[in-house]
Amino acid sequence: MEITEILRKGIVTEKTVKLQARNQYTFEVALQANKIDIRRAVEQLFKVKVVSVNVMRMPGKPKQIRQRGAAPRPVEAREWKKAIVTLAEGESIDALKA
Amino acid sequence: MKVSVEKLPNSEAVLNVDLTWDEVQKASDKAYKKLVKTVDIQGFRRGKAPRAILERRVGKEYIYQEGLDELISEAYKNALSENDLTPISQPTLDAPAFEMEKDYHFSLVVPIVTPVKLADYKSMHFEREEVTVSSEEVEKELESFQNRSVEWKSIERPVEYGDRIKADLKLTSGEQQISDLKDNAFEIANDRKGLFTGMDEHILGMKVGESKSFTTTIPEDYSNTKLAGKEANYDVTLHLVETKELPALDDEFAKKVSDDQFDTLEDVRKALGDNILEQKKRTNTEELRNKILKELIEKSEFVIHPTLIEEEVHEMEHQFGHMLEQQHLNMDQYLKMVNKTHEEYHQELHPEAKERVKQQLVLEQLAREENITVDANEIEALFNAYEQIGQNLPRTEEQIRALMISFRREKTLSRLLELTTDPDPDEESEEVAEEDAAVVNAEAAAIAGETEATENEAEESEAATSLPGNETTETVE
Repeated sequence: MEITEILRKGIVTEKTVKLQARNQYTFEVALQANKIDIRRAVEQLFKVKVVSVNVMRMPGKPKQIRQRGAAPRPVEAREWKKAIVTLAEGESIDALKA
Repeated sequence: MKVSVEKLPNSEAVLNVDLTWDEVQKASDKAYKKLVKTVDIQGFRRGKAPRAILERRVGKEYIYQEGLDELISEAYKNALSENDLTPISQPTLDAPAFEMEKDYHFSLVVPIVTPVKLADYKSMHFEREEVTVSSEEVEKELESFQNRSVEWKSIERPVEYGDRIKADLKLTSGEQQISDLKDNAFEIANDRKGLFTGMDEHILGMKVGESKSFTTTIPEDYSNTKLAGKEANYDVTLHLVETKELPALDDEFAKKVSDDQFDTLEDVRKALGDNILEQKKRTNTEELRNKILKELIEKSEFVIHPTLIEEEVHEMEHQFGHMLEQQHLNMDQYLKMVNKTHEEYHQELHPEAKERVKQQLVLEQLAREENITVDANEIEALFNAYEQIGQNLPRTEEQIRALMISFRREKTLSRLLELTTDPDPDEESEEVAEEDAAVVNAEAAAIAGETEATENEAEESEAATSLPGNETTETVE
């Protein structure tokens, strides 16, 4: 996989900020990416040393789109993949750090 | 935080404030804690976002600026209370852009009330004038009562002065019809003013059922310039002549005018005399107060900031605006009527506003020096007093403050009167009436501006609409 296609975006929420205390950073990644791809992408793009990568598939859920003047239309929220990357001690990703 | 206060001779104060970087940073911490509770950031509940995230969202400088603003207003407040300054309006801020990691300096300029240097009022002395009531004054009052209970009797004779007639009256000037009244009652007077000047002498001598046409000239100074100086053509048809019948001055009359309170005319005379004396005394005291206050103002030293006068002018205009509203006018219409621009009108109010400001300042300073305060009980009593005269005032904070201020002024004035005059010979009666008088006076003070304006207005409106019909309603009352 191309290295620029792997990481979609960093995720910064209350929960992930908490994880940063353990030097773990959270990303939304491409569905097709595997742990090895993600490790390589993070190491090359942020110039850090990655200790481990955990990934999970976030299921798509049935949703409804409501629009004024139209009947609610059932749609499916897209499935996506989340990766939690643990960095080596002393390393950090400034772009996501709180 | 280092604050230095410098008073300028033009009644302004300059506050110079020095802040260290540490203080700025602490303030920004506070600002962050406040801000974070109000800003929505995705992924965080309100108040839970870390500082770095918030900085990314609203900008680092913004948080610091918030903190600085807080510091500035705090410094301002402290400086005011520590140095006992009374600001008149918002201060102007001279704050340079701040830089990170550096100490910060800013200055504020604020117009303040400079305390009045009171003249030595304790050494001032005024004489209370004697008041007496002459029998003529009583008779005059009695006569006006007599006039009020006049009865009109229909009579068969030509019209004379003082009669009341009922007539059709049509008034035209050239092509224009000014008024067309049917069966209108009015009194014949030989000194009529305004539109109908000169009408009465033509009507003189007419008999019931008679019709007459005649021409007069509308006076040059009539308020409607379109009609002033023009000829007015009258068509008058007389329907009824009535003559005035005064009730006889006897005990019967006494009973009637006093609602059976008094049996004899002598009693009524006495009561009237007392009334007049009371009233004279009151106006006398009022005059004396004004005199003392004026003297005190003249001898005291003032430094007044123009803003204060400006504000008073606006206040006066506002009150006057309310007055106009009651007559279904607005400010613009009024200004057009008297042919003035807004600026001219303001200019005109200026001297009086200045005088009022001086009065307020003097009384406030005096109250401070004499330690005159108003407590909650007194205010409560005032509210009750107002209720008794049928005025239910809302007990809002604003209203209470306004009452407190006017009542304190009232008290201060009374104290000033005590200090500068010999005690009133019949102090006792005054003592009882003091509360009431205070209420009345406070009320009077509250609407003083309006009354003055009313008088002017009333005159004008009367001149503009002095139809015969109006005058009769007045006499009937």
